[in-house]
Amino acid sequence: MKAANLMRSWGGASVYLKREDLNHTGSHKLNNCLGQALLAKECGKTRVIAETGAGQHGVASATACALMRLECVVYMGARDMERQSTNVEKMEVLGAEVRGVDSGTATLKDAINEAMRDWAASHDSTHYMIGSVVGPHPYPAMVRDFQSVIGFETRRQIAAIEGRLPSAVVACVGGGSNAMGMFHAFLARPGVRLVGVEAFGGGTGPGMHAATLSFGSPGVLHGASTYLLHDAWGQVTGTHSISAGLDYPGVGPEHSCLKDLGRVEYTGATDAEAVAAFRELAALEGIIPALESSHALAHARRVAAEAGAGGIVVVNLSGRGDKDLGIVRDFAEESFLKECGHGCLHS
Amino acid sequence: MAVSIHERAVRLKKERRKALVPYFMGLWPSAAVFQELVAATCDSGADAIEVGMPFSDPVADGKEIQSAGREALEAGTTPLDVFRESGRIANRFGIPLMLMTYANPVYRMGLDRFCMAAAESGFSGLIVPDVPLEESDGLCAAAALAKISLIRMIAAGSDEARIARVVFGAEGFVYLVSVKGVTGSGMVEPSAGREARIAMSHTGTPVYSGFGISTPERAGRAAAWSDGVIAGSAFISEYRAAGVAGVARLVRGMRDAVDRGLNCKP
Repeated sequence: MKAANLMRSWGGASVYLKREDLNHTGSHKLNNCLGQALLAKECGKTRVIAETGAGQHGVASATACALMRLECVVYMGARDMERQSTNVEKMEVLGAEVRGVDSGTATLKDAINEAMRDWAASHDSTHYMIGSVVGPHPYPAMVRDFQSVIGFETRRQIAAIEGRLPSAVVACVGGGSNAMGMFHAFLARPGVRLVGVEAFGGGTGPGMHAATLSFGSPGVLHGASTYLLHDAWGQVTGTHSISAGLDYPGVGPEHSCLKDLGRVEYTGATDAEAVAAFRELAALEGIIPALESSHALAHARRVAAEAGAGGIVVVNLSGRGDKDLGIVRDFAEESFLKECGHGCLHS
Repeated sequence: MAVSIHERAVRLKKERRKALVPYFMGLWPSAAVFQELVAATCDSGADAIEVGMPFSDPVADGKEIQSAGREALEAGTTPLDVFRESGRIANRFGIPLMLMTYANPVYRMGLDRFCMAAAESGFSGLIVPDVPLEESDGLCAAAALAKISLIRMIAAGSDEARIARVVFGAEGFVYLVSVKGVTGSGMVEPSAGREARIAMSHTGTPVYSGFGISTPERAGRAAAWSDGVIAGSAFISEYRAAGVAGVARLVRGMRDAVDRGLNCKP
């Protein structure tokens, strides 16, 4: 859809939003889950395990499993369960069992570790429904293929409206499934600028962000060779992002390849920029975006300015933000307290 | 200078003796106690020692080894510490040493540099469970250059074609993962004896079974159909319950059971 108010406020290019937030369960995740659930049925599996960060993939997995009568267990970092409690309740209502993971950093990476350990014991009966373009082959390619509907739809829709390809496409990158699904249809169209936006979190120091492609180096995690945030000895380091869905120290290996090829530019947005973009879209367009997608919005403003009048920028609005209201409120309070404390010191 | 795991494994098999290979997490629970644990284990009849190099995301490990690894990392243990302390073991006891870790620490240091450093510290075997055969060319070459045996792994449930591919050219021993699951979990698969026989029909290299070897009884049973056993998680929980003396007792118990296993029919 054309974001007319946003365009007027930003100036520059025409801005379109790819509304994956309007999917059932509120994000792009269902595209992949339906595909994998069908695959699980085809393979004769009766049980599905999944990991989740923000809970969006967990909810989509639980939904697909309810529909297809598959038993579903979702691994979720204990810290993420706290900050995304609504999604935990949704998964449970949908009949999934949510297992909290306390190990390591108690976020997405550790949920994947735990799901892999489950799978080592259960693969006879169980399909592991990975939610992003990460993990061992063939997951990065398979999840990309299931998500590539995003980019193909975008290409068709923008051609119908504007009669040409967009000048730029912007998407957020954690593991990178919404971005890979969006970019795939445009990779062979060199005229389309592709921009992936990572979580710059609260700063550029170790553990303060989750910007793997911007600050990481090659490594091996979860069965893939890819850019990774790790220390000098290869220990995977902690990450921070206000958005649980981007809080991952690795990234899909195809993104690493696209970075090295120079086909996709990777940059980032901070927690504060994402929250500002979240509020802006709500105020101007009446759409509450997921904090993950808000990272893409935050950077899209710059891309739209660079594209200039006559340019077309498509932002992948990968999910809706109901789940994030509490986090945004807490963030505002924390910022207020910080500023207040700062003011007091100087008064 | 320590005997190599390859020489030791081949000789044991020739002498029709079963191998007992205990695993300890490097520098856990401290550098000093790690040395004590290894000393007690050597005195209690171990044939070789597997040393774990802690990693932040040990996906093949169950709760016990995860917790020991986490504690070792929290104490600041680096690969260099593991090399140094293992070098002391090699010098003191002359026992074959194997290193177990994950792909990322190896790749981070560089394959050649890592394998050379491991060899110089007295390691003669390397186990990296998250590098499958199909991805192992680089690591194989680096290990060969450093004269370390890269230990091949097969799993309960692997089919014959895969087992044949994996064990082709195996050195040291073939590591048969005898449970479906992570270390320290579950029951030894009833089919594991079948996979061991298949492996033995495709290679002269001894086949040792590991994962799920939690008691002397299980060690004895697994030794009946394999050339030796590897146990780790059990020693970590035993140390937490009964200290170094408890670990020594458990090693002796497994030693007896493994030797008696010789008389069992597979």
